[in-house]
Amino acid sequence: MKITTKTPIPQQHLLFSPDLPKDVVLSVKNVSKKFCRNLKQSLFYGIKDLSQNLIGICPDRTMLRKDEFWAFKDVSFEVRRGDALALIGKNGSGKSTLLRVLNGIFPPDKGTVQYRGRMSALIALGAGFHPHMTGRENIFLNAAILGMKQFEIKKKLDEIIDFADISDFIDTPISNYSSGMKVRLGFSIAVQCDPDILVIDEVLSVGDIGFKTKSYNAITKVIDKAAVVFVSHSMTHVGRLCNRGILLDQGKIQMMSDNIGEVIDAYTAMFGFGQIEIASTGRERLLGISMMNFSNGDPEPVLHELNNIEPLMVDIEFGKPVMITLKLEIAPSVKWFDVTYSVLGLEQGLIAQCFSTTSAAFFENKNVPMTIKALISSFNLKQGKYSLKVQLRESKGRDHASENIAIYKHFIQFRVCNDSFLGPASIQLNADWTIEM
Amino acid sequence: MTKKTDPSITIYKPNQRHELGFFATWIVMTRNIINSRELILQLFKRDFFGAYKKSFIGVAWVFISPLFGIITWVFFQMTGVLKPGDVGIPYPAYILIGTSMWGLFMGFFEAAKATLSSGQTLVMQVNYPHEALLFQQTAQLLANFLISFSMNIIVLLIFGVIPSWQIIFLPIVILPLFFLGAAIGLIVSMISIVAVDLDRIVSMGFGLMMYTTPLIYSDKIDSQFIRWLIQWNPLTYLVCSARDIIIYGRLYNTTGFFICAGISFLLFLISWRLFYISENTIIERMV
Repeated sequence: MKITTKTPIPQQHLLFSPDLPKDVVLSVKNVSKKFCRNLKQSLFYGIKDLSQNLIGICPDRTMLRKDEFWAFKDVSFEVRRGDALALIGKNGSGKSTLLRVLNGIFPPDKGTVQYRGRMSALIALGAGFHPHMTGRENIFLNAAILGMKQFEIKKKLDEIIDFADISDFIDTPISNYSSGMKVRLGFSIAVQCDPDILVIDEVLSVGDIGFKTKSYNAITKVIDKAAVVFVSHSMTHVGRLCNRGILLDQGKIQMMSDNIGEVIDAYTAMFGFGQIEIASTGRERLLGISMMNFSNGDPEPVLHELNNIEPLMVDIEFGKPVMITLKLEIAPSVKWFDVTYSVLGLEQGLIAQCFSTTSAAFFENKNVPMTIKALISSFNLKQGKYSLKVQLRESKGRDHASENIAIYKHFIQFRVCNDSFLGPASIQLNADWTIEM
Repeated sequence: MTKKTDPSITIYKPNQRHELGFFATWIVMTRNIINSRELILQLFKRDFFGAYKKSFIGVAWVFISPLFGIITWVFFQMTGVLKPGDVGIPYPAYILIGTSMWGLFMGFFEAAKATLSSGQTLVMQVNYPHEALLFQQTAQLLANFLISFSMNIIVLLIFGVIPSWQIIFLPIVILPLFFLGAAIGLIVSMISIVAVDLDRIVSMGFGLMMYTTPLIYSDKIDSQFIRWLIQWNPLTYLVCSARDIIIYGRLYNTTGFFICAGISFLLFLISWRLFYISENTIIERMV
C-alpha cells in the first residue's frame, strides 16, 4: 500500500504534457477497470476504500479482490484529429464502461487517459432536461451541464435550434415534445459545442431518416477538425462513419486496425445464423445441394447431401460467377413449381433475391429426381458472412397465387472473400468503365 | 466556428486525486465551484422555479408553507400544553426563531446529503464537478429560508418583539451551521450510496438531538441530566447562538460558540477532502 504523498501541482488541466504528441487528441495507455460481481461485496469494498481514504491510505487498485473481475484490461490506443475510431464488440464486452472511463465518469484502476481540449459525450442525449421547462431554457441548462459557457451558448443558440429543426416549439415545455424532438435537441446541443473529441454511444438509432442523415453529416463535419470515438452495434453505421476500428471481446482488444472492414469482418465472424430452419409441407425431398464459383469448363459441381444439423459452409470469391445446384424430387400432386433463392445477411436480413420465375418461368414436375441449376453471372455481394434461403413453390398458373411447398433456411452459409475491402455497402456493382476524350 | 487556441490537456489516472496535497484539494474544489457558477445558476433555476411550474398559485407556496408552521406553534401555546419557562419574549416567537434555525441546520445537512443522489442519473451520464450540486442545493435552501425567515420576522414584530440590530451578523453566525451540516451531509451522501443504513441512523440521531437543544424550552431546566446533555451538545451553541443573536443580540455562549465553530470548520475541510478523493470510487458503485 502506498501512503498519500503531496504533489504541489494539480495533475488536472496541465497545459503541457511531454508524452502527448501534438496531433494526438486522445491517448489511452494500458487502461484497466475492474468491477465486482457481487453487490453486497461491492458495497463493502466501497466502505472499505472510503475508510482507507479517511485515514489517509491510498487504496491499491491494481489487484483483484474476491468477486472482482476486469471489465476491460490493458487497453491502449491513440486517436488523432480527423480519426473516427469505432469501438465494437458484443454486449458486455466493456465498450460502455470504457467510454465512461474516457469521459472521466469512472476513474481507471490502472493506466492513464489523456485528452486535449473539450470532450463532448453523446452517451445520453438531453442529460438533465427538465420536462416543464421550455426548449430554450433546456438548451441553456443542458449546455451548462456539458460545460459550455453562457456566452458560447448564446452565440450558438440559433444554430442549435436550426439544426434540431424545432424553431416552432422552442418556447414550448419539452414535456410536449415527441421523443424524436428531444433527441434532436440533445444531439444538436452536443454537436454544436465544438468538441475536440466527440464520443458517441449508440444514439443514432433514434430520429427519423431526415434527421439521421443530418446527424451523419454533422458528425462527418466534426471529424474534419476533431476526433470521434463511436460505439455502435450497427455495422452499417460503423462502416459509414469510421476509418479505424477496435474490436473488444471480454474486455480485451481482439483486433485494432486502420482497415475498418477487417474489424467489421472479425466482429461479424463472432456471430452465426443459428439453427437450420425447415418449413415443409412434405411434398418434396431434397437430395442434394451445392453452391460454388463456376466458370465454363469447370467440372460438374459435387452435390452435398443434406443433414439437418450442420449447415454447409462454403467460400465464394467476390465478383466471379456462382452456380447454385439443387437436386430434388417432388410429389406428383404438384404439376408446376418454381424456386427462389434469398441471400440473408447477419445484420441487414434480406439482401438479395433470385427468382426462377424472372427468367425461366415455371418448371414442370417430371416425377423423377431433377437437378436444377442456377448460374449467377456475377456475384457482387461485399465480403462477409451470408446465409441462403431456398424456397420451393407450387405454381397454379398465371392467374393464381403460388403456394409454398417448402422453405429451407440457413442450410447453406457462405462467406464472400475478397482481397481488398471495397466499401461498407452490401452490394458492390460491377461496371465496364471507359473514359473518352 | 471558433477554434480554441489553447487546448488544455486533461488526464485521468488511478488514485489521481490522492496525489493532490491536503490544501490543494480545497483550492481545486473552490476553483471548480467558481468555474461552474453558471451550471449552479442553471440547476438552481431549474429546481427552484421548476418545483412550482405545475402549481396553480406558483411561487406563492413559498410564503404559505412557513405560515402554517407559525400557526402550529401559536395553536400549541393557546392549548397550554407547553410550559417553556421564562424566555423573556412571547413563547411562540421564541420557538419560531429557534426551530427555523434548527430547520436551517437540517437543511444544510439535507442539501449536502443530496449532493450525489439528487443528480444520480446525471452523475452516471455526464462528467461535471459534483461539488456544484452541493452549492446548488444550498443556494436553493437559502432562497427558501430567506423567504420563510422574513415571514418569521414579520410574526416577531406582530408579537411585539423587535429584532436586535446585531441581526446583521446573522450570516456569519449561521456559517458554522453550514460547515457542520455540510461536513456530515457530504459523508452521508457518499456512504448512503453503499449503505443506506447510515442515512437512517444519522437522521434519527438528529431527531433526538433537536430535543437536547434548548429550542422549544428554556435551558433553565431543573433536571441535572438534561442540563448536562444540553451542555455537551455542540448544536446548542451553534443553533442557539443563531437564535439569540436575533432575539437578544448576543451569542448563546461565546466560548462554546467559537470552539464549536472552529471544530465545524475543521470537520468541513476534512469531509470536503474526503469527498473529493472518494466520490469517483463511490459513483462506480451507484447502481
